[in-house]
Amino acid sequence: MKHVWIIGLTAAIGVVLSLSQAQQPPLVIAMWTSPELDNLRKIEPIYEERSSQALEIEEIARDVYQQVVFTNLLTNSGRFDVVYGDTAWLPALVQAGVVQSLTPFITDPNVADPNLNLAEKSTGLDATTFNGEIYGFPSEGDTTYLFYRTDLFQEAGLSVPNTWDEFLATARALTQDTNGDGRVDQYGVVDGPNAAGNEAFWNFQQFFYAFGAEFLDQNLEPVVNRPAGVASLEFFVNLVREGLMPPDVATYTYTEKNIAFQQGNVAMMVQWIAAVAELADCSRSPLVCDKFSIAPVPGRLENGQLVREAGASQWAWFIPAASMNQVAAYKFIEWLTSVEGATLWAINGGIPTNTTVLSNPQVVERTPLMHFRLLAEVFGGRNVPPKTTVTPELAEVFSQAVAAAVAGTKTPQQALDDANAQMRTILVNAGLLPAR
Amino acid sequence: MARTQWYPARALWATRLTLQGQRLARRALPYVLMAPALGLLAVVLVYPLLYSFRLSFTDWTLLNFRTGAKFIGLANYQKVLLDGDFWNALGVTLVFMVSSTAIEFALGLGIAHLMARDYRGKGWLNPLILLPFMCTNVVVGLVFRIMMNYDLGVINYLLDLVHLPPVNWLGDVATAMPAVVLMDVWNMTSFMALLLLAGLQALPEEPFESAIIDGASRAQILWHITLPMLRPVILVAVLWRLIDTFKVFDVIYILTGGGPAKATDTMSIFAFRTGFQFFKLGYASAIAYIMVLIMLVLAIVAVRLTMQSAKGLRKVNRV
Repeated sequence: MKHVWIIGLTAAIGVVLSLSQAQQPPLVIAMWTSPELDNLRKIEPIYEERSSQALEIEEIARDVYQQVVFTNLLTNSGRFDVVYGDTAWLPALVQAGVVQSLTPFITDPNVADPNLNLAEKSTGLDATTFNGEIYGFPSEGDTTYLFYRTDLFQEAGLSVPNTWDEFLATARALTQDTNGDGRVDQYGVVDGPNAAGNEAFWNFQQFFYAFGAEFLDQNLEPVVNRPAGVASLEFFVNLVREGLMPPDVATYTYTEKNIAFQQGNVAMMVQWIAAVAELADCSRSPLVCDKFSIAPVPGRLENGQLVREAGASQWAWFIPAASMNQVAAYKFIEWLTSVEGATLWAINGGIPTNTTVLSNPQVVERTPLMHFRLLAEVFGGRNVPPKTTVTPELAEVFSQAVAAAVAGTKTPQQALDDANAQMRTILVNAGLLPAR
Repeated sequence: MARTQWYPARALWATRLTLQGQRLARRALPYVLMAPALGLLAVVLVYPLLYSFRLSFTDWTLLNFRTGAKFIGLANYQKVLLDGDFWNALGVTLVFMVSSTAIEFALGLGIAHLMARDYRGKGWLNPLILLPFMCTNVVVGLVFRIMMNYDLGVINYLLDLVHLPPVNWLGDVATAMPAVVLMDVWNMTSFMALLLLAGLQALPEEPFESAIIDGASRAQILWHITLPMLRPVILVAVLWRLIDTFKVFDVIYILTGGGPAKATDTMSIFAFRTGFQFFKLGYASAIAYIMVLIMLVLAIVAVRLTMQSAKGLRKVNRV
C-alpha cells in the first residue's frame, strides 16, 4: 500500500511539473504594423521550435505605437516582455527608469550566450548605451534609397538622378496625364509629410540631411532654420506646389506612400529601405514588383564633389523593467540579434544591425534585389536623430513645421524659424540648454 | 366598546425599537444596494478626477518620472493660456461645435418632422434613418477616410460623374474642417432628429388645430407654434450636441489626426498629444481641466435655459 502511495505521489509531481513546463508564459512582444512585423511572424515558429519558448506578438497600429508603448512602460503594466522601439525614445525611458539594463544579463555567464559578440552590433550599440550600460540590442539600422520605376524611366529615356536638380527634372518629366482625361494620373514623386505620429519628421528628414542641414549643433543648439534646412523645405514644398506629388500628399505616411508606389501611380520615391521586401514581393505588390529598382538618394554638389547624405533611424529590442519574464526575454533578443537570428531576419527582408551578417555574401545574395550591396554603399551617409531626452518632442515640432509649410499656412522660412524657437524652449525646459 | 389592551412598558419600547430599526433598514437599503456601484464609480471616476486635478498643479513629465514632480501652483494654467496651440485648438473646436450642431439641428428638425408623419414605408425607413447614429465612431472615421480619399474615394468619383473637379478633402487646410463637419453631420443628425421627434410627439394637438382653422401657413405654424413649444427640447438637444462636439476625439483623430497643419486639431486631440505623446501629464491635466470648466459653463447654461423654458411653457399652458 505504501508503495502505491509513493508511486502515485511521484506521478502527480511529474504531471504537475510537466504541466508547469507546458504552461510557461509566452513572451509578449510589442510590435508596430510594419515590414518588421512580417519578419517577426516568419521567425516566430523557428524560435518557438528551437527554444520551446512561446512567443505572442502584439500588433499595434503605427500612428499610436509610441503612445501605447510609453503608457505601458510608465504604468509598469508588465504587459510586454519585449519591446521593439526607436532608440530616440530610449534616453527619456532610461531616465524614467522603466527600461531594464541588459548589462547584468550580458555579464552573467549563466544567462548570456558564450558566443555573444557585442562588436558585431557596434554600429547601433552607441544609440542604446547610457552611462556605460546597454539598454537594448540594436536592429533595423534603417536609412533610405531612391525607389524608381525602371519601365517608366526606360520609356522616357531617363537615367537615375544623382543630384536634386536632376531629381526635379525627372519628376517633372514623369508627371503625366497618361489617359488623356485632362487630369494627372502619374506623379513624378511621392512622400509622406503627414504630421501624425511624427511621420513628417521621419520622411522629410531625407531631404533635410541630403541638403546638408542638421537639427542640433554640437552644443545642442537647434539650427533647423539655417539656409540648408530652409532650402530643403522649399524644394520639398515646391514638389507639392508644382503638382509633382499627389494632391492629397499632406495626408500620407510611410504606408500611403508605399501604397501609391504599389499602385503604379508614382515614378519615384525616397523611401525607407525596409520597404524593399514588400515592394519586391509579387504577391503583395503585383503591379510593380518586377518594374522597380533602387539607387542612392540624390546628393548635393560641394566643391564639385557629390555628397550623399540621408536620414536614418536606429531601432532596438529592449526589455521593460516591469517584465516578469526578463531572462527569457533577454535570451530571445540575444538570439534574434546573433548571427543565426540576424541571418534569418535579413533573409526575410529585415535589416539587422550585425556587421557579420550584413557583410556575409551569402546573405547579401539572398536579400531582395541584393540591396545590402547598396546599403553598404550608403551606410556612411546615415544621420541618426540627436540622442536627447526630448528628441520625440523635437520631432513633433519639426513634423508640424513641415506640415504647415506643405499646407501653405507658413512659408518654409517661417515654419523653420518657429520650429527652431520652439525646439530651443523644449531644450531649455529639459535643462539641456541654458536660457538666453 | 373596544377593550383597551395594556402592554408592559418594556414591550412597548422593544416594539418601537424594532420599528425604528426596520425603518432605518428600509432607508439604508437603497444605499447599501448602490454602495458597490458607487464604490466602483469612486475608484474609476472620482479618484482619477481628483488625481488629475492635483497633477495639473505639478510639473509631471517623463523626465521627472523617477525623481517625482514638483508643485508649481497655477503655472500650468498660465502657460496654457499663453500657448498658441491652445488657442488654435479652441478656435478649431468652436468652429466644429457651432457648424456641426447648427447643420445637425436644421437637418434633424426636418427629419423629425418627416418621421413624425404617417407615410408609407415608415416602419422600415425610420430605423434606417437612425442607422448612422448606431455606427461606432472608429468605423465612421475609417469609412470616411476611405470615401474622402482623393484618388480612390467614392465622393470624388461621384463628383467626377457630374463633371465636377475632385476635392482634396483631407489634404487641404480649407477643406479638412468641412470634411470633418460633413462626417459628423452624417453620423449625428439622426440623434438630433430622434430627440426632436420625441419633443414633437409630446406636443399638444390643440394649438396646431386652432392655427390651421385660423388659416396659418406651414411656415407660420413652424415659426410661431412648433419652435416656441419645442424650445425646451431644442435647448437640451443643441446643448447636448455642443457639449458632445466640444469633447469629440476618436472620430477626428482617425479621419485627420488633427491635420493638415493643425486645421482640425481640436482641444481633445491637443490634450491627448500633450499627455500621451509627450507625457507632460501636469500640463495636459491643466488643459483637460480648462476643458472641464468650459463644459461646466455650457452645462450650467443648459440647465438654466431648460428650466427657464419649462417655466415659460408652463405659464403659456396656464394662460
